[in-house]
Amino acid sequence: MEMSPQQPFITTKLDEFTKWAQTSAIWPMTMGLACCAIEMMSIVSPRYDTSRFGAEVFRSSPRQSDLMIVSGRVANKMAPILRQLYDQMPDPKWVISMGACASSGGIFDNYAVLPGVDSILPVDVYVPGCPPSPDALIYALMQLRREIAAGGKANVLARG
Amino acid sequence: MAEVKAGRAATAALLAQLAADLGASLLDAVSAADMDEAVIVAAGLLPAVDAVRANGFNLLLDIGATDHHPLTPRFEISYHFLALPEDAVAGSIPSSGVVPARFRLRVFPDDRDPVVPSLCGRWPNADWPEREVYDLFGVRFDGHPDLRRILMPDDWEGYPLRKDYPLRGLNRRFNPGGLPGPVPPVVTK
Repeated sequence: MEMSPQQPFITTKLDEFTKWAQTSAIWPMTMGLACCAIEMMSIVSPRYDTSRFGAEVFRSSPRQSDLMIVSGRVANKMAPILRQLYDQMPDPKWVISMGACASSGGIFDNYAVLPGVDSILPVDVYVPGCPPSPDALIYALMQLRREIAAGGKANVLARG
Repeated sequence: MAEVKAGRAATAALLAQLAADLGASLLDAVSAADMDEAVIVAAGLLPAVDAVRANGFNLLLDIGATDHHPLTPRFEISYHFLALPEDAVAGSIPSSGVVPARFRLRVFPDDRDPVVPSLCGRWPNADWPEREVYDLFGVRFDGHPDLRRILMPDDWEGYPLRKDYPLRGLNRRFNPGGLPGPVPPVVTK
């Protein structure tokens, strides 16, 4: 963006402007799967306060969200539902895999739990931890903002 | 241990009645470490349950199942009962200080076609535990009003807590870590 001291307007490229809008207002979906969700909920509390980054509005509908935080182990029974919710989110959309279980199945090596949510969804950022601290999730959010600023929309299209 | 001893006095009469009522259907009466128990054949379950209830055991605590594979008989269904004092049932604090007695029934259904009678007619709370046993072990409950899966998805193949079921399940769209190939045949001696 360029701002001229003499003239009351800003010049920018449309792409830049879109990325700025996308990074500055990430709306996560209200969805908690397991114990990681407890840590996820606290990121909107005054102590961590993701409203500093415009990401505090947890929407209760996938149609109004552009970020899915997979906060816990994904049971086989939940997997089709999760995929449907993801498909219902409008493009562009991003996914954070929060914690060991969402990223790899964690301690659950059995018939009931997916060995990582990336087997059914494209994941943008993985957060290690069991559970990750809210700081770690905010760091993931920062990483996601960097990804979007670097052309996240193109990635989304490339991922199909 | 005092609690166990107090419970034994209450179950002595029950064991005597079971021996009289069931005859050959009563396979064994054991005084286990935690409570008295009776091993019965599946056909004798409902008469046994009636005798249990008539002896003051008014609460069905839980229904459990065990797969002893490769031993045979392979499946075991266990029922735990509690004799809650009448004033506790009525909702007040038990005044007598009586320790509630406990009792267990064990049934070994057939290996190839495991069926036991449903207790839903006697205890409505048998509904969900029986569905859970059916879901995870494939033991059917004859007379259950709504015997379908309760924990696993409706289209799930196989019974996951059987010993011959693969630990990671079968490879499907939403179970990519599972074993590839068709459903393995049920191993039964």
